[in-house]
Amino acid sequence: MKKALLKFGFFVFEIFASLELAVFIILALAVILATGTIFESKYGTAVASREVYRSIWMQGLLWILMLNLAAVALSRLPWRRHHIGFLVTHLGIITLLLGSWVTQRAGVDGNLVLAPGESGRMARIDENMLYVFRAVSGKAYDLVVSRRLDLDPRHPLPAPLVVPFHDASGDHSVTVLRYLPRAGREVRAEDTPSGMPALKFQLTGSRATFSDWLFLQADTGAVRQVGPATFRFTARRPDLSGVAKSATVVLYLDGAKQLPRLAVARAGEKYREMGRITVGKPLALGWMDFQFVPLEYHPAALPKAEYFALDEKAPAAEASEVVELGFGKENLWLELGTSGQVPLGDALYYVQYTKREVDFGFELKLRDFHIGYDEGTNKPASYASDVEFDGTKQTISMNEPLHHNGYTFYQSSYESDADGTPKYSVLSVNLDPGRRIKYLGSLMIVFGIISMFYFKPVYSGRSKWLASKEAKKS
Amino acid sequence: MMRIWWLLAFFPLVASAAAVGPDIFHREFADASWRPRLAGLAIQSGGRVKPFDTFAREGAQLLTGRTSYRGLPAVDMILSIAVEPQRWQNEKFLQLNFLSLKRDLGLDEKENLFSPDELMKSPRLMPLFQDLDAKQKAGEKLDPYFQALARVGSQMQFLQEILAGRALRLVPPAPGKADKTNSWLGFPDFPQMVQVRFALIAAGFTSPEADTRAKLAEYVDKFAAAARENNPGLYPSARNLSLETHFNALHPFRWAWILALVAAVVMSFSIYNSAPGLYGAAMSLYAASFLMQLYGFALRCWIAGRPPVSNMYESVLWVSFGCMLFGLVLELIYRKRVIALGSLIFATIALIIADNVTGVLDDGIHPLEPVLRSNYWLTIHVLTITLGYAAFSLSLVIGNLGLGQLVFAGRESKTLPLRQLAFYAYRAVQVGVILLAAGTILGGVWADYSWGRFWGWDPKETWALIALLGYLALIHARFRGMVGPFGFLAGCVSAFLGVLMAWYGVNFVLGVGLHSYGFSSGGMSYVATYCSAQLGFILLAAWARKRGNSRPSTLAEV
Repeated sequence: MKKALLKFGFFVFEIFASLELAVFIILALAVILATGTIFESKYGTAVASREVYRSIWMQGLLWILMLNLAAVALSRLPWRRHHIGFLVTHLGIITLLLGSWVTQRAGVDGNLVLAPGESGRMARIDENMLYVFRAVSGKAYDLVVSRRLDLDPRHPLPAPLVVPFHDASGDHSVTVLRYLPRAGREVRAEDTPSGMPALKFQLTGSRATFSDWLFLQADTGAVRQVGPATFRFTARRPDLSGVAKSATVVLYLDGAKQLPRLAVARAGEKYREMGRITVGKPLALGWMDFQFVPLEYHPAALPKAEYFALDEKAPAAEASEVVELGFGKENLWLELGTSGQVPLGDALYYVQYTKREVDFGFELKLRDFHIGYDEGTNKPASYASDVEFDGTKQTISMNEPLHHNGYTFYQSSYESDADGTPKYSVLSVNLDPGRRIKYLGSLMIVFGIISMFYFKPVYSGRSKWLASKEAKKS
Repeated sequence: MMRIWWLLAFFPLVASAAAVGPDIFHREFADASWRPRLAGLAIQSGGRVKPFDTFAREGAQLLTGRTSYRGLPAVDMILSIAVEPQRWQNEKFLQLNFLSLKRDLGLDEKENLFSPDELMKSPRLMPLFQDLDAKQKAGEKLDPYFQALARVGSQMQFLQEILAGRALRLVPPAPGKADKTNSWLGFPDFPQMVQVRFALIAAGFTSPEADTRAKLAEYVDKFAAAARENNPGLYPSARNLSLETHFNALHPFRWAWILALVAAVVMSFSIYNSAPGLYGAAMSLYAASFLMQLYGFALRCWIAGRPPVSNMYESVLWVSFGCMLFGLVLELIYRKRVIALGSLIFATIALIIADNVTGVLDDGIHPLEPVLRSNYWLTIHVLTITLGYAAFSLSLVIGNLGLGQLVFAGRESKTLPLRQLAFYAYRAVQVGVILLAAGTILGGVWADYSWGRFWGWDPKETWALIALLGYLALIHARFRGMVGPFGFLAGCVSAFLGVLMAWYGVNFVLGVGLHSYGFSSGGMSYVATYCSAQLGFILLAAWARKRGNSRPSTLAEV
C-alpha cells in the first residue's frame, strides 16, 4: 500500500516536472492573456481584469506553473554547477510570481484627485464596496457589512445577490436586486401624508426648453439654478421689495391647499407679481420669449428617484452607476458614492455604496498645478503638482514621484473642465510591499537566462535532437 | 486677419505677375541658390522649430501624398500656395484615395488627386465634416472612411492656415513678448519691416521679370536676417538647420534599403557561386547599408534630441537595423551567407515599407508625449524590446528560407540542411528571448517608476509577454524533442505573429491601454494578408516536406 502510494506520488511528481506540462502551461497562458487583451479592447479594463487576469483560471494556472517550476527544479537533484543558470531562471520566475502575489494581496493601487488648494488623505481604489453601518447611538456606529461589490457591467444581475449579516439584534440581510452600470435618473413626486408641496414646471422658449422639480423643504424652501436664472419656492411670501441680482422666479405659498403665487424679476430689476399659477397654463416671464408652465402640483409629496438603463449612445456625463437594494421592507436605489438610511427593528442603518478608500496616513495638500506646452501648440508637454505634507513642500511631476510613509505618489494625469482649463490634478497612490521580491525575481530571470544560454551547457540531459546530431558527427 | 494678398496689393509687379507671369511649373530661375536658402529658414510647426524644408515636405506630404508635385520641389510648392493661391484653386493636387468617400463627394472615382475647388463644391462635404466633428468630440475610434475624411479636413485646414499666413511662423517672438507656449509669429503678426521683407520674397518669386526673380536669393537672405534679428536668442543656429536639410536631402534610409537590396542580390549569387569576390562584395554592400543606417540614426537623434523610440516608423527602422546587426554578428561567427542573406531580405523589406507607406508610418520628427520625456528607463526598455523583435525577425527570415527551401528547392545540393538552418534560427531566438525578457522586465521597472506599478496587464506589456511565451514554448518543445528542425523553423515563423501583434497589433488593432502615445491606424488589411500568407506558406512547406519524405533521395537530413 505504502509502496503504491509512493509510486503514485512519483507518478504525479513526474507529471508536474515534465516539459510537456511546461509547454502546455506556456501556451495556455498565452491564449488566456490574448483573450484578456481582446476583452479589454471590447469591454474595458475592469472587465478584463476581473474576468481574465484575476480570474480563478488564471490564478490556478499560475499556481500550477509554480508547482511545475518547483518540481522541475527538484527533479534535477542533485544539483550540479551546470544547473546554475537553469535553476536561477526558474526559481526567479517563482520569486517574481510570489512577489506579484504579495502585491496583489497587500498592495494599494489607488487615485487621489485634488483641485489646487484642496487636501486629502484617502486614496480611492477602483473597487466598488457595499458598507452597512448600524447606528448604536447618535455618535457611535458599528460596521456590520463590508463587502466588495464588483458586478459585471456586461450582464444584468442573474439572480438577486443576498448579503447576510449578523449584529446585536440578530440575523439580517441586504439584497442587491438590480445593478445598472449606466443608469439615467428620473425624479417623480410620490404623494404621502408626511410629504411637502412639490411643483414640476417647464420653461419653454425658442432657444431652450427645460423642465424640473421644486420640492419644498420645511426649513430651506427649494432653489433651482437654470443657466443664469434662479427658481425659488418658499413656504411664505418673501420680501420682494428689493432688486433681484439675477433673473429670478419666486413661487410662494400664502395659505393651505392653494397653489403658489408667482413673482418674477429680470436681473437688476424689481419683482412683478403675476398672481396664482394654474397647472397647465403658461405665463410669459418677460425674459425674451420664455414662458413658465406649471406641469404638476402635489400638496404633499416626497421626491422619489427612479433609475433606468441608458442606451449606449447617451453621453457618459448623464450616466451613473447604481444598485437597487432590498433591506428589511424597504427598497432603495443607491448611486455609486452615495448612502441611504433604513430603519429596521428599533435600529437605524446606514447603507453606503462607494469606491473603496484607503487612508495613507497623512494629509497631502495640493498647492498648485501647472502644465507646460510643446512650443507654439496647445499640446501639454509636462505637468506637475506642487504639494505640501507634514510641513514639507515638494513638486511631483511626470516621472518624478513623491515617496512618503511607504506610499508613492505619481503624477498620473489631470482633468480639465469643459473649456479645457485644467481643474484637477490626478495623482496615483501606491503601496507595493512585493516590489523588492519582484525585482529580485527579475534579476534572477535575466542573469539566469544569460548564464544558461551563453556560459554553460544547460540541462543535465542533452536534448534528443542535439544528441542525435552529435551521434551522427561521431 | 490681415491676408498676405492685402499687403501684396502694394506691389504692382506682383499683382500683375499673378495674372500674366509664367506659371509656377514653367517659371525659370537663373539663380537657383534661393532654394537652399529658403529651405534653411527656421519655422515653428508641430511643436518644434525646424527648417522650412522639413515644413514644406511635411505639408506637401499631407496635401499630395508625396514630397514633390509635378516635378516641383516641396519648398516651391508651399511657397507658391502661400503667395499665389489663385493658381492652385483649380490645380489637382489634393490626394484622396478612399473610393467610397470619393463616390459620396461626387468626385471622379478613377482620379486620386483633386483641386480645392472640386472638393469645396461638393455639397456633401460640410455635412460629413459635421459628422466627423461629432465623432471626434465623442472620442470615437475613426473607421478608414472617416480617417480619409479627417485627412481631407487636415488638408483644408493646412491650406487655410497657409493662405492666411498663420502657418508661416517664421519669426521668433521678440524678447519678453513670448506667450506661455513660446509661439513664433505667423505672417499677420510679423513686425512690419519683416512683413515687407517677406513680401519682397513673394514679389521676387512670382515676378514675370527674370531679373527680379534673379534677386530672390538676396531677398531670402534679407528676410532671414530680419527674422533672426527679432530674437537672436531663440533662432536656431544655421548648423542645426542645415543638418536637418542635409538629412532631408540625403534620405539615408532610402540609400540603406537600396544598398541592402543590391547586397541581397549579390549575396544570393554568392551562395550559388563560391567565388570569394562575390561574397566580399556582398559583405561590403552589407556594411555600407549598415553604416548608412547608423549615420541616419545619428542624424535623426541629433535633430530630435532623443533616441528613435517614439513611433512605429522609428521602431521599424530600429528593428531592421537590429536585424542587420545580429545578422552581421552571426554571419561573422558562422560564415554561412544564408544568415546575412536573411537579415538583408528582412531589412530591405522593412525599410522599403518604412520609406513608402508614409500614410501609416509617419516619418516626421515630432515632440515626445509627456510620459516619454527625459526617461532613462523608457529608452532602455523600448530599445531592448525592439532589439528583441529584431532578433526574432532574423529567426523569421531564416525560418522562411528553410521553408522556402523545402517548397522550391527540395533537392538542391547547394542548400543548407534544415538542421543547420534551425540551429542558426535557434541562436537568433536565444538572443531574442534574452532581450525580450529583459526588455519586458525593464518595461515593468519603467512602469513602476512612472505609473506606480510593476505590472498592470496593459495590452502592450501583455502582448510582449505573449510573444515571449510563444518563443519559450518553442524552446522548451525543442529541448524535449517535441519539435524537430522543421517544426522549429515553422515555429519561428508562427511565433513571429505574436511579435507582430505586440509590435503593430496593439497600437493599430486593439487601440487600448496606457501606451496610447503610439496609437495609430491603417495598414490592417496588409498585415492580415501577410499573416494568412505566412500560415499558408507553413502548410505548403509541411505538405512539400511530407511529399518529399515519401520519396527516396530527398532531403535526407530532415
